[in-house]
Amino acid sequence: MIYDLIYLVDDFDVVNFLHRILLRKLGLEERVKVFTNPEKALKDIRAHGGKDSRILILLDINMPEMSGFEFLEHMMAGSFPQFIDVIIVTSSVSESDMILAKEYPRFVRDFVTKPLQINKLRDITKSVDRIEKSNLL
Amino acid sequence: MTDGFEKKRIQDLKSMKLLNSLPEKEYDDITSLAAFICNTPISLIALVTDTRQFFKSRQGVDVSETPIEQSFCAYAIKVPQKPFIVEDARKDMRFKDNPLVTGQPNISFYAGIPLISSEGNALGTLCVIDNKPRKLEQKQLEALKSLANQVVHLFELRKKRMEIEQSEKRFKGLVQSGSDLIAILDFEANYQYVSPTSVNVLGITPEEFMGKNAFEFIHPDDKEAAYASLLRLENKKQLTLKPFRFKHGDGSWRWIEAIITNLMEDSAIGGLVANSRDITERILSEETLKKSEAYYRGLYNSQTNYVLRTDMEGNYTYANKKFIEEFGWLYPDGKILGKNSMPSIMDYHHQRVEEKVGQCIAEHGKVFKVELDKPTSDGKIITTLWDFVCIVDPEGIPSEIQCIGLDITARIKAEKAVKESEQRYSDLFHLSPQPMWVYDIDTLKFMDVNEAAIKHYRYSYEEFLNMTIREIRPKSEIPKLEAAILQLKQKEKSYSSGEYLHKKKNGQEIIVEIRGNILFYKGKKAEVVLATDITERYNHIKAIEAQNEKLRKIAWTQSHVVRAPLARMMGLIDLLKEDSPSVDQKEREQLLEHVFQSATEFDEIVRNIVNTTQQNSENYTLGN
Repeated sequence: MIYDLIYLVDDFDVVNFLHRILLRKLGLEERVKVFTNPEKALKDIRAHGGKDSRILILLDINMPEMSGFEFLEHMMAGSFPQFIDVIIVTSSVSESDMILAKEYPRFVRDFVTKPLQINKLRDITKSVDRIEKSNLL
Repeated sequence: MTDGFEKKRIQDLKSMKLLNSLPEKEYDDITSLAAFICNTPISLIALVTDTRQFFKSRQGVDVSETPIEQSFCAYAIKVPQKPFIVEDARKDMRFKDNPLVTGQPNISFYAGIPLISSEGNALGTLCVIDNKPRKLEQKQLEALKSLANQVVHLFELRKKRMEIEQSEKRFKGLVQSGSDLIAILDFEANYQYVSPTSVNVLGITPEEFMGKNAFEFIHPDDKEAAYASLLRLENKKQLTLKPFRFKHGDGSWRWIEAIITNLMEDSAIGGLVANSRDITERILSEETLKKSEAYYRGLYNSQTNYVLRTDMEGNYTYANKKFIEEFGWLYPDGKILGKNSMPSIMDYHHQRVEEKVGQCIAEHGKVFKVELDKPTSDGKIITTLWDFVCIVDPEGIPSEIQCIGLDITARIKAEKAVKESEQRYSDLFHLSPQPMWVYDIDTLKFMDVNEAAIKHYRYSYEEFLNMTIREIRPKSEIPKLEAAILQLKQKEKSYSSGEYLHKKKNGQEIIVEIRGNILFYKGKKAEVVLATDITERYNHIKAIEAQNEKLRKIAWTQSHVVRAPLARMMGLIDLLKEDSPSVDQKEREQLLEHVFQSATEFDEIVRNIVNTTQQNSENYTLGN
């Protein structure tokens, strides 16, 4: 099972740039959409895909316009027909952030500390099943 | 005649009480008869002392006595067995110069018969005198002798009568004025005679006793013992009856002690003489003493007390085994009875004993307590507690001091220890640097506060004692206080603790940590409270908590802000390391540029953190 769209949401261009190269290595660059502003990312997700589309979001937490958790709150509040998996990719090593991430089991599949490794990204994109058995759950 | 005999003769004469007595008819009859028989103008009954002769009766003479030097009779009694006769004194060498011969009554003839008492003493003479010389016929002399015998008879009668009078006087004194009751009973105990003292002693007149039996008056419980005693009198002269109860005229029972003497054989009495006295008071005081003894023995749980009695001089009349065991060593000859009791008491308590005994005598029958130190055989001093009672004899005169004592050294030591411990606790309370007070759990009134509380709360001692513990709290705290007190009362807890808000006199509120313990103070359920002002400590905790919050923020910053550029650098370097075809030359230069930017960003963040931390610590030390 392959994601139709992969959203990179991080306020730092360099991070998104890094992740895009990693996904290029996995042959998934053409499905990538990059946003440094989480609000714009949300708008875009709402505008794309119906029931059948599968979406992966690599989400940063610490962002000026809207934090990753606020982003998740909006997703919970809004109705998104698509199948959406969220991987939190953060520079935080704080336990409390990881605990908070578990508050959103409907979307959050994993919590990954930066820098994101290529092998980890391969596992994430390979199969939705494997993600479900990740350390988060 | 030796002096000794003469002395006895004079004594005998004096005991007749004839000297200087008035003339009596019996004696005058005899002298007048003697003068008549002998046909002489003078007749005398002369009694000769060592200095004079006294005429108990005289016929034909005006004087009642003459000096011994002129006495014819003094010669007469020198040979008591014979009549002394001088036929013509004017021719007698012994008398011719005697004034009674040369002058009035011009004695010429003298015949005297010595008067010999039953004791064998010649007390004087019966004599006849004439102023002319003459002789007595034998018949006349015989008559004179028998008249002299009559005189001696009269003397003996007089002596007997005096003895009887004396004895009667004594008897009357005994019977009528004493508290003794004398009764004469027959062998069946029927009253034959009862002395008038029965009115005083038993409230019953002697007449009422007549025709009645003694057992009608004796208490039913005491009859048997009294009867058994009376039976023993058949072969005994005298016995003392065990105290028995006798019904008084007012209906009350009186304890009587009686001595019975068997005078059945004595024809003058012909009965049992019962000498009785009322000893009710003594019995009762002995009973009181017994009760008091039992009471104190129980109270002090002492196995053995000292028991002793002394006479009014303080000499032992009785001492029990325990006393002798412990204080006998003071009397090296081993005999305590009769010795003075003072050596068994430390010198400094002698005055106390004398005062106590004085009180005992003033209120006999009443128990007086006295604490006395006594020396022990091993050189120590023990403290003893005594009950002194003065015992009186039936006349109400103090006769003995009864003393019951026990060793209370251990108790005194314990009391001293308790006092010292109390003092220590009192010091702990008053000298405590933390505020302390005692309050009444029921009224919440302060009962005592220490110096630290006065200093800290700024109320004076007097102000505190007029306040309740409500008044050192802001109003908002009252419900909390009441809940705590209720809990203290209901749960029977013996301690309390917690943090409370208190208010000083100046209105300043302070946070205090309370530690309390229930105790009984001056007979009331109270709590002693130690209050520690933790306001400052509390402020410190708040400051620390604020600091912690700041530190948490720093940690968060580290986690998000510091690590962000670092993580980026790590990702970028990862890509640069591999010579991947998916990254072109232009992108490679871009990556390097990003690494440099991230490193610069990282440096800036670290500088910021250092600045923030410095500011925070400055704020903290400024007492924020």
